[in-house]
Amino acid sequence: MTTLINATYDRVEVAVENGVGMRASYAVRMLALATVATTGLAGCVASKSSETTPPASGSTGVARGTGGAAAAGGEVRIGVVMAKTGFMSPYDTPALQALQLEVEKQNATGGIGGSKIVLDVVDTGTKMDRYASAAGEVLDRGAKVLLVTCDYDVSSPAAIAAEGKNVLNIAPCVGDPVYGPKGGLKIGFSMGDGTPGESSIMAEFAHDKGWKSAVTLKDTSIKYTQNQCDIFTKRFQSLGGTIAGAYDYKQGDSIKETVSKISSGTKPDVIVNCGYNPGGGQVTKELRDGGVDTPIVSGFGMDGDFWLGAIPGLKDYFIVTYAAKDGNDPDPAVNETANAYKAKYGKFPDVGSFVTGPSTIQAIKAAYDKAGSWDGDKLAAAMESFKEVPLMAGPTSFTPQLHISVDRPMRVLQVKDGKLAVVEKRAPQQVVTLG
Amino acid sequence: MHFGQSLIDALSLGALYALVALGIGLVFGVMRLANFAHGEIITGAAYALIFTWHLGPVVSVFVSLLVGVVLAILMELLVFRRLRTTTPATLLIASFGLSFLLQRVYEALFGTNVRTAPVASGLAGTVTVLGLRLQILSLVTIALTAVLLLAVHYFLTRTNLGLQVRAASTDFRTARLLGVRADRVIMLTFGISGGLAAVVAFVMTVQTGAVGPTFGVPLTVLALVGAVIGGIDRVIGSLVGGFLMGFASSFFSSWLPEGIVRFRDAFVFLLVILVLLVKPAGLLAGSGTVERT
Repeated sequence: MTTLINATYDRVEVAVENGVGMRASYAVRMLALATVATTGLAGCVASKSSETTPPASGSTGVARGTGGAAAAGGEVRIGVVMAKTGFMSPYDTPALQALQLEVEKQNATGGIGGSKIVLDVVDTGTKMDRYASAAGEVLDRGAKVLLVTCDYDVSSPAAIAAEGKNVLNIAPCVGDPVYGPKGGLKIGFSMGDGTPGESSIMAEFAHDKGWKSAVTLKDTSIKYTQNQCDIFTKRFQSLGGTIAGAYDYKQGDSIKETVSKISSGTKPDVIVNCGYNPGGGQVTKELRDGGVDTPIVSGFGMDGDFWLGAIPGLKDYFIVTYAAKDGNDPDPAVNETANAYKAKYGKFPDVGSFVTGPSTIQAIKAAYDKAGSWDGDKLAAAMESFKEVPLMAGPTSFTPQLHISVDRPMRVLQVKDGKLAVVEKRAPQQVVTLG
Repeated sequence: MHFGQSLIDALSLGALYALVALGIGLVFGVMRLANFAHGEIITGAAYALIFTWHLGPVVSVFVSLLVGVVLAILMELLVFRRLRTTTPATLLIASFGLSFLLQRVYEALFGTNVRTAPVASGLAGTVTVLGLRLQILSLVTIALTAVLLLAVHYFLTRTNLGLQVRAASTDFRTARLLGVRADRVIMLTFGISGGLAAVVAFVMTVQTGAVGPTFGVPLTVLALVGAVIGGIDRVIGSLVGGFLMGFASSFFSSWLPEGIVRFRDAFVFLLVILVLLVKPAGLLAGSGTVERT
């Protein structure tokens, strides 16, 4: 958009020089400025000056340099470049805070390899241009592992900085397999549930409900939701389902016209909302306000109950996600952490992906125990050999090609009385991938 | 899809954008300020609705209006009044800064997650008339816009204060020489703009039921672009431009073929470029700009 406007700006500047007049120049200058600012806003709307927090344990001795083994009885520093503020904070914060609980737990039993874990946390404010520099800061301070924000598009500059220094980098809850070798990250892993598994579960759940025709609503603003709808479509069709309509929207868009199209066409059995909040919630409200009462299925992007207050009485809404967050998960270990989370932070986590925080520390520990080194390539080789390692997020497997787990069981939740109730724990019967 | 249906959708979105553009255009007329922070007035008024809705609609709407008007006037008193003699570019950059600042303030006060309330949920429902599925809110938006336009028109053309605003918009220096009190006129204009922002906040909050720190930004950006292509130095230009942006956006959403509809914004901005190529100063631009001193 900026390019287009700037091109116009240049042409009108020529026209101004040729005597069209100052008013023309002024109007277009305003438009160009507004457009440039808008582009800036896209990256900055939720940003904030970042600050480095002191080590969690208040320690002073920090392992320096990259690679090598940390002395037993010393400390090992883990850098965290995630968003406590900004648009990614609803997804990063639960994982990060649960991760901090796990660090306390591990330190109480000797840490990793006999070294206490020290977190070096930088709040990036989801500011895109902050990630590379923040990663550089924590790496210079001796981080042996780097943890990054739960979105590849946002966090890849930090991950690339870690790769350059042979430091294992982990995104606790990225869902897209692009975080790994596919995205150029040889020693980058995600503890998230991969979109292929999640979307396959969504399709299989819809099929098992007896729903034969689906309409998809795809938020095109990020890769995760785009792939989610594409994989759902592929798996749903392979099960004999049909896609009655496929519509796109962008975060924040009104979909009034789409609602009109859906309600004036053949009623589908299910609507798949491949979105995330707040835009996904707005879409849901517009559907229900428009009289469309078709069941809706979403993935992790719509997890949480913080958005449900806008739609009192919402029902027939199903969410496939990591875990139930309110101490009502089928797994007692998950509930134990959820309750500890509430005790420490005053409320349950906002979303179920909090389980990826403890899983990250558990995975690092398992990898270090196997590799006996903090060298990124050695830790990565250890993680690539994971076969159903029992982490809090579920049994976790990686391969040299795939650095994300795609076949863990997930939870299907249903909106009931403004809360999320567990319907079932469900693993994909067949994992479908794209191209 | 029924043509009448898409027409109502388009009129409704056009009306909403027109209201935002009108608020921006009024201030631009007297200040040569394209107030980017107008979006944060909308956000503030929307938060007020969310947090006070449980007190009842009358109280909540009143508080929201108050927040909109007071926020707008405070912007003028604390920031823009001190910059009045600077260039329009400086004013615009200041409004960006104010916009970012207020977003951070909202984030610090209310968090990054959305705050929710079922604001006037009855208006969000639909009725079927002659086979058309009409959202009550769409009809209310169109009606509200029409009433507010008439009210603003009456104010500008039939009242002494309105005359002063028009005079200041046309030629600020001469208006001051003729006795128009600049501070009062500008503050009044900001107040009206804040009130209009609160009305937009109401419509948007009924539609979404959820408000976050950047709630008002997307609407303001597109309305600002609309105001420019309409001719931002005239109130009618801003109004028409804003309406066209909303109308075109909705109409493209309804009628572009599947597979192409994802490029809706590209089509909208292609129109913007075409308009600017034909009418570089905007469709209904006025006779010129006058420095504010």
